[in-house]
Amino acid sequence: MSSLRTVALVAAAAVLVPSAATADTPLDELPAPTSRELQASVHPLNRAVRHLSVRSVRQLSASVTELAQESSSEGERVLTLTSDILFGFDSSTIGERARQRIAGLVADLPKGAVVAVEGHTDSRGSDAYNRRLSTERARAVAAVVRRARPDLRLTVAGYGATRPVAPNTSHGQDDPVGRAKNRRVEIRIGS
Amino acid sequence: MRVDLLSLQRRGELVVATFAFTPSSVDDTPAALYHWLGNTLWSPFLVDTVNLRRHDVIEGQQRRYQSAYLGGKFASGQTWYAFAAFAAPPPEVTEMDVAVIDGAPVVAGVPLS
Repeated sequence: MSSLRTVALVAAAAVLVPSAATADTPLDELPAPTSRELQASVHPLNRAVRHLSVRSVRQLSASVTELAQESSSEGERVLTLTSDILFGFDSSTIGERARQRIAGLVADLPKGAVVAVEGHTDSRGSDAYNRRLSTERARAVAAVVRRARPDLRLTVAGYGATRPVAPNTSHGQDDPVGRAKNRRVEIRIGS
Repeated sequence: MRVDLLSLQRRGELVVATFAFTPSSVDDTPAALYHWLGNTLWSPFLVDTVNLRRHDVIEGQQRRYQSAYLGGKFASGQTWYAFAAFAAPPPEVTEMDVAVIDGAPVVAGVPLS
């Protein structure tokens, strides 16, 4: 054993040797701990949170995503629905509250408007799986739209991961923020 | 990999989730959570099913409000504890869905304590 390692072990032993008052003393013979000693012995798993302070409301609001975001693209009005809110994992079932919200989103569209409902996924999973899931999700949204507005002329498609709006990876690393943006259903309203 | 959701707690304007990760593998080489998740960044999120909103981990100028997934290394059978902080939903929201890791079912209807 090298002298350096020996020194290290001796130093460690000096730290670890218990005091005479606690060595081999049965629990029943130890004095009852004070409340302060009890408190000092408990450490919260998330104690780092105590040192965090959110500096602005902007940081908080930026971390929250609504179900639908509206934008325009090449003369089309686009309603982008976040799949993580709309669907469970590997599911194309839409809950009642989300159905009501979608119906509200299309309530004011012009009568007989041409509407494309398009599903998209992130890049995880096989192409076949992503195509199927995105198509099923687009169909589910289209069914809600059709029930709310039977006059609209709908087309439905699922594109899998072929039309991302954000990078799925960044600098060769996984990018969960980008992937989340790509998991979506778009309702595109023609002009 | 076993993942336990230990708590989901309101703390003023935050909700703090606490997790325990216990990998199970024939390879007992210690590794960071990033590696146990298949070289994936750990990015949990919450879903407010009342107001239909997704709550991601809060991001500050220099850091994300969560445990460092490249920080500590732990071996198969060992448990690593982690937290993540999110913006709190409105007061009327009493439970949320928790997506602990990507590509896995969410834990639905977790009460906020």
